[in-house]
Amino acid sequence: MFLEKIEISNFRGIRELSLNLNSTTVLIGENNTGKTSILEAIKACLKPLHSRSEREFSDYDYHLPEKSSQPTDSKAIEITLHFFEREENEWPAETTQRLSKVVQLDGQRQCIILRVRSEYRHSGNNFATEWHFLNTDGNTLPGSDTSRARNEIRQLAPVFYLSALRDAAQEFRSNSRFWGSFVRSMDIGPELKQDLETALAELNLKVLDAYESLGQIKNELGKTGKMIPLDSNEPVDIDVIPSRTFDILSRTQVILTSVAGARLPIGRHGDGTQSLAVICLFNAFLQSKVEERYTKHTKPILALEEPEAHLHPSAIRSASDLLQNLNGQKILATHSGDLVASVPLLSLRRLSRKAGNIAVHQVDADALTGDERRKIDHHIRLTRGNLLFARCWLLLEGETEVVLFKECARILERDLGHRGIACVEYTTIGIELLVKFANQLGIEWMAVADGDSQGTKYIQSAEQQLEGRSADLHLCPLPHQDIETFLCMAGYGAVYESNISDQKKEKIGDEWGTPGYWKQVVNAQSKRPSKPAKALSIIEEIENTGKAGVPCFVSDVIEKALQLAGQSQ
Amino acid sequence: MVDLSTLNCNQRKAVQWNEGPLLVLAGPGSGKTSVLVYRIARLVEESEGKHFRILALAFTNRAAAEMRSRINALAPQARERAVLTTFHSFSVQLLRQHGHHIGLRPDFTILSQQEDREYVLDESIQLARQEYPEVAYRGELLPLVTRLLDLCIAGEEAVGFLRKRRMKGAEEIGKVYRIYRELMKQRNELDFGGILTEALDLFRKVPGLKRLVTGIYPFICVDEFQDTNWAQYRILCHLVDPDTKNLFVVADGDQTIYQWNGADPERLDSLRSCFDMSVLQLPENYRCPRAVIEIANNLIQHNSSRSSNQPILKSRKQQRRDSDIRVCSFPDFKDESLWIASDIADRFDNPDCDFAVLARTRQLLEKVHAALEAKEIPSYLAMRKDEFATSRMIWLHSMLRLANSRQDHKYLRRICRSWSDLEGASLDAKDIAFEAASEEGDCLRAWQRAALREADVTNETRRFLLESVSKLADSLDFETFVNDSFAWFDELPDFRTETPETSSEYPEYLEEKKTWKELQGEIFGELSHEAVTLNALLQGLDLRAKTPTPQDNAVPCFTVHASKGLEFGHVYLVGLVNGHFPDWRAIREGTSSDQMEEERRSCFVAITRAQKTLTLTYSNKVFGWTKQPSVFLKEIGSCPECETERI
Repeated sequence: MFLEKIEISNFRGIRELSLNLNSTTVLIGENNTGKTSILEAIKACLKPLHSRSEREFSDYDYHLPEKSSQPTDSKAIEITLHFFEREENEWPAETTQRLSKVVQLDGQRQCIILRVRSEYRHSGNNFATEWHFLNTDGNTLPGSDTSRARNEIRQLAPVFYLSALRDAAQEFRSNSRFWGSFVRSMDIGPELKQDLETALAELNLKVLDAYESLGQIKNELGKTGKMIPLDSNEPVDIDVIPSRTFDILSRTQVILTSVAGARLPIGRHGDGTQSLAVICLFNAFLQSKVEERYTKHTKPILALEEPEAHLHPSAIRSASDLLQNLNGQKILATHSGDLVASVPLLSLRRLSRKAGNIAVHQVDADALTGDERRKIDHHIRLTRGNLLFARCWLLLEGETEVVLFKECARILERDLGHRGIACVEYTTIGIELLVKFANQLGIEWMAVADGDSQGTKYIQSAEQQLEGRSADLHLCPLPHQDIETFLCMAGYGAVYESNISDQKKEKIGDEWGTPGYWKQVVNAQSKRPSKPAKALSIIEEIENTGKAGVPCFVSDVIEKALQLAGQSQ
Repeated sequence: MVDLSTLNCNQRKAVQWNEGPLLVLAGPGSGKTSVLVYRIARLVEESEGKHFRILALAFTNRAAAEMRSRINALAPQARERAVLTTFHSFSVQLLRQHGHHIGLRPDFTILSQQEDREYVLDESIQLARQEYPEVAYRGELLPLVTRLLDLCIAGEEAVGFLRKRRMKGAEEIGKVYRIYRELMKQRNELDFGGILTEALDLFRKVPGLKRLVTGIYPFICVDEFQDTNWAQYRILCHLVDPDTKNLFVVADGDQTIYQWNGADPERLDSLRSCFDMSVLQLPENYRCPRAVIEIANNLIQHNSSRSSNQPILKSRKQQRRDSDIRVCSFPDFKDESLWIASDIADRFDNPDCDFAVLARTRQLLEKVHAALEAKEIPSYLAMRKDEFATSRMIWLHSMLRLANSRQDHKYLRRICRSWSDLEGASLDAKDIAFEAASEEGDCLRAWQRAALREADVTNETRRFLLESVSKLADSLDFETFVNDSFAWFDELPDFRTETPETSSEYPEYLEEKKTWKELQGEIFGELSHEAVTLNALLQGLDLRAKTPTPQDNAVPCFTVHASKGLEFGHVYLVGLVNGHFPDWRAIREGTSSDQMEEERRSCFVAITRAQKTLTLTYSNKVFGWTKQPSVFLKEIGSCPECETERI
């Protein structure tokens, strides 16, 4: 069953949130924007409970709005899961039959809406959790047997949670969820079992004989039998190696041979290898065990937290191919641009915290044309996925500007990268598309453009997408024709002046120091050194002067960008 | 494996029927319910591991409950897989789950009391008068509204329908009907007719519903199909998958006796042609003595509309030695009643004797019942009882209803009234409602506070009010509340006489408590215990009669209609005179009229209730009027074992 939507209120750090899901959904966002809480919320709704006394929620799952808040005063946790047919007739008859008392119709599509509500009841001095199935109007369906129907849902859509801390030593134990299911189902047949156990017993004897000291210990221990009742024939046995096949199977180990040739148990390998091994094991489990342990119509929900942890970028890319082919509906939380690079644009959800609330942004299916989507894929998602993690984009015309703003920020001790500001050149993608895309994903932006006619056009197209934002904060046209002229006017013209011949200099008609003069100086520049290289020499000069050397306009823009980034925090 | 060895060849054929439509035409006492029960148990057993359900629709909740327990005994897995219910209960479940598509919330209330329907009708009339000042009064309109509902006329089609029938005031009546239905939905209420009509509306307006329902219930079974009315038949048509047509119907055309309720002898024919039914006959009768079968066959063949290929009953019962049928005549109905009472009294102490007195009308039964009482023979009249009658039970039922619908003042009024009977405290419903208005209209909590404010409340009552009522208000835990209430009721002294036993309603309360527990158990059985929420319980109660279960050996005095589907050792069919049985209206219409044929079928049903003996009685005078022996007495023919006694 496809989980189309989840609504969460008052759960951990989340006050209110609604999230649409795809067959693969990738959650991105800074720490503390609720990614893990979303995965945990789904898990809380669908995990099997092992005893009646086990609670779905722990005390600190209740949202605490203020420092002094107590879980007992919290508003009720409410989590609503919407399972929908993706198209008419998608669910096999058996699914509908199993859920016959709670199934709903939305047009021609069938759906199930499950809500859990948990709050502290002062009358009973306890946390009470209620489960309800709802109709499509959001009213509780009375007379529906929730525990039975919930069991069916757990059968049809079990949730598997793989957290960021993947310790292979844990996952490859015989009692673990995935490995255990393989080990336990091994059936070697009674005859072979008998043969093996006989051989093992002989082997044990041989070893015991070979080590005399073991025999002595056995005799000493045998004396215990005189103090407590033990079997009189063979009171003590020492198993050098396990004597039962069951014991052997439960110690099954996966050994990976490293490049250097050492055979190491998996728990002894590096974190990255362990992590990858667990994902592969998970995949093997989903491929071969789900139908056996659940039903043939089961589609698990896979909640994966930071699957990229400890992996090399190229390993991330191949791991994420594996992840996308996992059997089930995937919900991933990630901080990896490389992982983002390998999932469709529409599967991204960018979470951000705004004034105590968490906002969820996603690209609307029809917001971008195919061509636009291709451009974004090519220039951002596939190559610069990290940009999606930024709080604010500083949109700049070219390389010179990028170098200048980054370096000036450094001189001002305002490192842009650390503060979530990414410089993005817009001339190849087009400023209009970048702003549109940033708006879709809720990334703040600020556009800087030349003062010439082309630059004015850039500013105008950004202006059309302000959507109520302040023009002053978001649109910053250079006070001069281009960046070079601007730098000259800011007092760094010498670098350019020194780079042209006297002959050319003589031709300049304008009075020295006027914008017209500098424009001509700039136009007369030879190709080498390149514009950015010249900019670097200017930065050297600025650095020598220190913070005071940074042109006002530049420091203004940087301050505004920081303000935007801070705002979006 | 379900053991089929006790069945005869035809029964086994029916039980082993798998897919496709089948009509089992079965006479009285032919084991048709067994056939249904065995087939369902077999289907469940043979499809273990599957999740589809089998839906079986019975005519009454009691019949459904009985079939449920028989199936569960044969195949325990059927608890989950077989749904035994009535058209009304099933429609209520559908409306609960999907009714929001037509504007009903899942917690709607079922109006089982006439006065509640009248209230809604009055309001509809008020609204209609804004446009049509001439609108008639409630008394004339209520039967019309009921009729339109039974015919499943949509609100917007009513005017056209009435005009076509040249009804006077079609516009006004149509308008009232339309408003009535709208108002019911707005108030989140439904009356009995509305349940079926709105369910049909749901199928019409939610096209995906049919696919959903047929997917869940690929097998549909109907018991006593001959008495299905128009609305039920139309719902049935929606439930059957048009491709597989897995419809299994048990019926007896000769037992169609609910024509006044919308049953129609021709409906069997339309069923056969509509679903292309295969037909299996079960003419073997295992219930009645041979002589009874003979006269039953003689009688029913006088129905000319009965198709000639319809088989007559074949007796399979071992012959009894003494005479099985007696026909007795009396000078006056008084003598008839007295003789019956003393005849039953003579035979009453026989260990394996069960009796029933049947008559066409209730009027006659009341006399016989009185005569039996005079002889100190326990007996009872079948009574329709829609509501509990003792103050204790009215209070309990109204408390639960108010808990479910906190602002409903009519329940608050009933609580105040019954409370004053129980505790002597007169609480004013208007004041409480006013107080409640300040806190989202929660009348239950407001009532609780008002009751606690009364000075002379005993400690037990105070504790009960504080703890149990709070629990109900907080968490709708109706089961605890019901049990707490019974415990409190049991100890509750009559405030006038000080002891519970002397309170006048105490014996009736014990009876009603028993009925409550039985009905609650039945509802738990229908929906599975965990699935019964307060609202589902209330809806289930509203769908069921509150008639008490009679004492074990009490002699039932039943109308023929109430005896449908039952059997008794010794049957007394009384008042067999023209004008009573057959009814005078049927006589007026003539001997081969539809009405007369239905009367004849009723008589056929009555005499085939007998397992051992049948006693037919008539008198020359009934209630002072001279009467002729029933035409049916002639039609059953002379029969050597029939001895006419004159007493």
